[in-house]
Amino acid sequence: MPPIARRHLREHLFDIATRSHTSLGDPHVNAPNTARANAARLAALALLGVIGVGGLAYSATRGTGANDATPIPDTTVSPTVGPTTVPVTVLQPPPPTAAPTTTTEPVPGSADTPLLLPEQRRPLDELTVVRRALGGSSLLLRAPDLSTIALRERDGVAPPPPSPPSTDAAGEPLPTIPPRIVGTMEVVQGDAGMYDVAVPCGSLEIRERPDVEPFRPELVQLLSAMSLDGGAINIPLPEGWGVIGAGPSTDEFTFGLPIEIGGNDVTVRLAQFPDGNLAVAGFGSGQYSPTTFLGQPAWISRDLDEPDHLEVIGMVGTTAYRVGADGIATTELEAVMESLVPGDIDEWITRFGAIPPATDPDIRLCAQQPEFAVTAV
Amino acid sequence: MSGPVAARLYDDHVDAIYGYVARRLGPELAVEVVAEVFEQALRTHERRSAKATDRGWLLALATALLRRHGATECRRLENWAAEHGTASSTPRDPLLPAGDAGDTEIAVAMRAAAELDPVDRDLLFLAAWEHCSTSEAAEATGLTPAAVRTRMNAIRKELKRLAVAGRHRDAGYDA
Repeated sequence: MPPIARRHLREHLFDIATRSHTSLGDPHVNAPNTARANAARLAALALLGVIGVGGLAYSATRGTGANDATPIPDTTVSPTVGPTTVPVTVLQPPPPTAAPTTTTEPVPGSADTPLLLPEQRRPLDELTVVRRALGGSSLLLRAPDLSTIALRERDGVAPPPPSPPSTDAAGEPLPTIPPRIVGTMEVVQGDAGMYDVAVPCGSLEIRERPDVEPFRPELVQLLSAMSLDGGAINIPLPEGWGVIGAGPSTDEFTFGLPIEIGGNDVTVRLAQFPDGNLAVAGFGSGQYSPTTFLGQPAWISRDLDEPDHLEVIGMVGTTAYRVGADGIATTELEAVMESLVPGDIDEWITRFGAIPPATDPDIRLCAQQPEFAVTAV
Repeated sequence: MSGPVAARLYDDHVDAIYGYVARRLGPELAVEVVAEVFEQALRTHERRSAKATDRGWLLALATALLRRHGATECRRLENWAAEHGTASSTPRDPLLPAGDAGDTEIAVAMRAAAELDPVDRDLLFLAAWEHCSTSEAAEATGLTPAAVRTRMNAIRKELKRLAVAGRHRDAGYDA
């Protein structure tokens, strides 16, 4: 079955099942409303009445000292006028013993409910879970020119030896871009704004704005400051540099929520990283600047090539998020986020299906696994 | 049925049910029918037999819905047979790829299946494509296992007869 149809149908069925289950409840276990049952109820009521009257009469004959072991609040009414009467003891109801109903509101971004989910079960445009890269971590830096540079390291085996150069039809080797040595780092340039740095084990990727010349001064300044000490990637931050976020790789839960804004269909894409950090949420070529979103400090990115596109990274509790859409205002994006409700991983699994298993990189043959060591100069 | 139970039932069986329906009706109609199968399952789960397995029960719901689309299915089988070759009286070209020869044989079988009684067609596809055991096929069609065995024997004979008749017809002989 096509995955989208499969997911939509699952959502639809889950919705039907949940609604019917909650509106009708579980099968009743009450006694049936038959003549026999009604007679039994009447008999039980009569018996209670007899016991109650008998108890009152017994109490009256024993006076208020009927139960010395359990003092009863003095509720004896002493008549002041009228004919001679027998004092009447009114039994007080026992204090409530049932635990008070203290349903705690789920807290967004908490350990119990780390995710935000659409309240109504509705078809989603996109749905993915990317498991954390074990031993991986990210770093999001701000350069002195206020541009953003993202770094990500991942554990793994030693990189394979370079493959022989490709050849053309005549067997002549095709030209390749040789690695560039910056400081002590060996850097291979990929597509615009993408760089791979050689490390003994695993990988180290750098992402920055794609619309600038390769190896621009800020990048060279950063690379020149970096050094490798075994697996440790030492980054003494040069003057004027700052850390926006840093932390280990975490699971990523993403959905695309279709909404309508001003008659246009818009898909809001929300990626959530429970126990995450801004660096893992913001890894990429996005250029972030500080803002306030949902009343909290956050970082906003507007792509120069796609001015319609808006993206925000921030934290809700301990969950990092990245939310974005085309053709949407910040306030509208906030309204969408505010319409979501806290949920847990189990709810995600129940609604959308099992999450893939985390893969453990085989690091046994390579001891010097990469690790960021950032220090301020 | 609670949401999580429904979700688990769906996850465990949607692929099998979709495969069964799609093989018989095609992928376009299959999504719609599968949706109906699971909606019916939610509505009628309290009435299902305690002995029925989940798979057998869902296949039974699917089979009942497939019967509404009998004409579509027969048309599809005929079209498939027409597209994938016909039995020919001419000797098979030894250089012909094996797949083509297989297609021709399957085309004869498909055409024959289209001519079967609807219940027999259900049994044939449940056994041949879904690898249902006798008891599962019985659950899915509402027959007893003994009746399934009897009918399967009859189906084999009938298919053989229809296949031979089909080859003769394609070759220009009277059936």
